[in-house]
Amino acid sequence: MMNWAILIVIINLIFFGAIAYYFLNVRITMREEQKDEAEKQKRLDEKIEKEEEKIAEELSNAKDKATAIIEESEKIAEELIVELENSLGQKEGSLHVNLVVGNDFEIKLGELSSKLKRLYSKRIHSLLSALENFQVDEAQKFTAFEEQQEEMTDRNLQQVRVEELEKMHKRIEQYKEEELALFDQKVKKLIEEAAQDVLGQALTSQEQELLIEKALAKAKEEGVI
Amino acid sequence: MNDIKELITTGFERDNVVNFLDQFDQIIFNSAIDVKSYIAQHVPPYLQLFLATFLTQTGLSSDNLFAQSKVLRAQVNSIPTITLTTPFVPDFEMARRIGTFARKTTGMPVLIDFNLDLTILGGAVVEGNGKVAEHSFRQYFEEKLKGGKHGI
Repeated sequence: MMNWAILIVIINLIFFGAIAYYFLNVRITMREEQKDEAEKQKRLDEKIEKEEEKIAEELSNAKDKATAIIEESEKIAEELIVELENSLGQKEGSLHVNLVVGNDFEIKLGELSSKLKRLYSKRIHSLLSALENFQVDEAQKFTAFEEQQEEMTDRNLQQVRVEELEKMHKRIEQYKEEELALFDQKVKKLIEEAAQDVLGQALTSQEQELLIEKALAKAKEEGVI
Repeated sequence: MNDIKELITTGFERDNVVNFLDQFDQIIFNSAIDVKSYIAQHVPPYLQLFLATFLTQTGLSSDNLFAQSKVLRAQVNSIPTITLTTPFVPDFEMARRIGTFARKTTGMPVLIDFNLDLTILGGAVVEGNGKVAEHSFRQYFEEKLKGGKHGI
């Protein structure tokens, strides 16, 4: 009888030991899985953080690029005006145009300068506003996306988030290129239009005649006529 | 003056002379005319003496007049031409002055044909001998604009 009791105790010990071993293994496995998941999460978070920094940097670069273009075009416009004043405003200039001091031509050169500055200012303001608005718009979209993500339970959620960030990055890149190309074209056009409006009307017929004679003389020097 | 080249300096004047000769060729065979009076009525004063003398120098018959007209037409059409594209339409006197300047510059009895292009702003596009040269504010602006780092 005693032997049977001992046997049953031993069997019970073995049984509960096996159960305890099983649960211990399950727990270890779960811990490892949790650890892996946490590491994966950390990697994804780092990737997302990196993407966000990249986007912020690119927006900043877009503004820097736009500012550089603007500064350069302003500089060129100023150079144009100064050179026109120097070459046309003096009595014995390289173009040999005699102008009376204080005549309408000098006044109109001033108008050209003001007009260029006004047109530039308007366009620059428009460009920077467009970039600012775009940045704000994208930030709002991203916030909405983050809120939506909190409600989701899918395991692939983080990957979706990364893909969304990549799409956003592409949209920003495309927008920047289009906006800057448009700006480049418009700057060229407005300089030409301002010059044509003001300068074309400012020259007297005598000045035009002298310029034509100068063109003929140069064409002769070049062997065209 | 023995040569039409010395009297006309623009394509406009050349076209006027050719148009006059077209009408003259028809009228001399269709009716009896007083050549000098006809010329006085149809051409500007500075051409009248030369045309009257040139056209009648071999006689007043229709055939003689026609032959002289043909010679004159050939002379007019043989004058070399320079085309000037300008930002405005010069008046007659200015056009003649520019024509005279072109002759002095080239040393040849050239005619000037004028074209209009407002975008030139100042200066001109000069075409001659199949070559083209532009010396204008438009070109000046374009060169300055191309010089920028971003193509501005």
